[in-house]
Amino acid sequence: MQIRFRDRTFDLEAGESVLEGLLRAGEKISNSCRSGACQSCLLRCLEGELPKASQAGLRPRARAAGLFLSCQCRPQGSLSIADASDALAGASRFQLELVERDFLAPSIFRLRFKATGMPAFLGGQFIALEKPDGLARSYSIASLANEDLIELHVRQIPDGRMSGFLADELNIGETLQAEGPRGDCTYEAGKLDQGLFLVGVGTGMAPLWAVLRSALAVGHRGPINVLQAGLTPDRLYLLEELRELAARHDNLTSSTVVKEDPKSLAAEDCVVGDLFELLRKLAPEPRGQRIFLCGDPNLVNQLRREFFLSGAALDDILGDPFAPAVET
Amino acid sequence: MTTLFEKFGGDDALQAATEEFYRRMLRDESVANFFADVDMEGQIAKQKAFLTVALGGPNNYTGLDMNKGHAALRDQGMKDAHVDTVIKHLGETLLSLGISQEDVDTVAERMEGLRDQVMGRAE
Repeated sequence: MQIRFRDRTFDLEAGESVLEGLLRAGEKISNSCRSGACQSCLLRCLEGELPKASQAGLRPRARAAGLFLSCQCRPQGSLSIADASDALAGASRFQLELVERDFLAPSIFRLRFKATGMPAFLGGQFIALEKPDGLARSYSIASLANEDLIELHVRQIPDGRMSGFLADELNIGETLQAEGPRGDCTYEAGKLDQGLFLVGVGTGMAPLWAVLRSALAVGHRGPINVLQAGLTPDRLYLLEELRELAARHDNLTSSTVVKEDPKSLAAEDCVVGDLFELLRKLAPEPRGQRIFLCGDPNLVNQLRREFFLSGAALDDILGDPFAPAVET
Repeated sequence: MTTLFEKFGGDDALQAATEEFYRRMLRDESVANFFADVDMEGQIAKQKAFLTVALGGPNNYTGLDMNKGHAALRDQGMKDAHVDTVIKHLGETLLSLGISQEDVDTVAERMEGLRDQVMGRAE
């Protein structure tokens, strides 16, 4: 079967994904996780039939626009496809200059950049950073549009090619190429009284930090629950900042839960135990609430199911599964 | 004549009903396994298209091959009893959303008409 793309026609080999085929043919397609989570390899179908799996997890609006995940697309017939960017209003390439780097937790650091030519974004969207050698990885924006610097939170992965580069090699004052913004894990304006429920694991807290502050900035009145989960207490961060916000806003409740606490490091208000048990206690009625789930993809998917089954509408469950990149 | 679809409240109401229907199936251990690894959004979109047709709404769903669409489920051991359960959950969903018993019976009849295709006994 054949793929038409950028005025060229390619043959796909049996079992090959559209992404693999295009890369083999020498086309440059940004990609990272190859498991359908990061959405960096999003393309748009103009003609032909897409396999279901290639649109799994996309919002109805994106599906309707013909967007699909090229890494998950093993078509049964020929396709005519195009870049997704013209369908995603606002995404484009821009430059980021590193201004500041500091650690927020033993394995999580914060980067602050000055942006040049960056399109308008909403807190909670994500961008892709590109290393000079072309390697690209997506990170959520933790800052708000009216703040001077773009803030990203990065988990240091042992031997991670991008996180290692960002931690040790990129110098203050140096510039990176970036692309975006993308994603719809954002605060929805105009629903000031809706309940919000935010669950984050690890650097999944970055987009939630932006969503939370977007809501507070416009005077959100409905109850807001923020729940940060981690394996052990040293994986948690932003604790002081969250406590401070909760003290200033009556409608905000912030809690933390860790699976285990072998060194007895957990703060007094941190629950040691099962995340799902705690959730059932905190959110007896998610119907009508807007739910934000960010972090480890397996956990995000389990949480989606849990919230859906207990009554949240699918359109009200927003999530960013953070899938690790496949090393190639 | 007003179709059940219009009476029901159109597309938005049907989205909510489909989600509730799907929720009931996932909570029911006797059928939940058939949906364990299925993409939730895609599955709900399909169920909704099916319900739109069953309620006499605008039929713009052309991919509705009930026989082929259930072949994999038959391989996983789907039996007539599972179809009964699905029809029961749909009925209860519609009743819980204020649809009359009479209209629910009409929908159940339409679903019965598809049973043989679903079970692979008819094309």
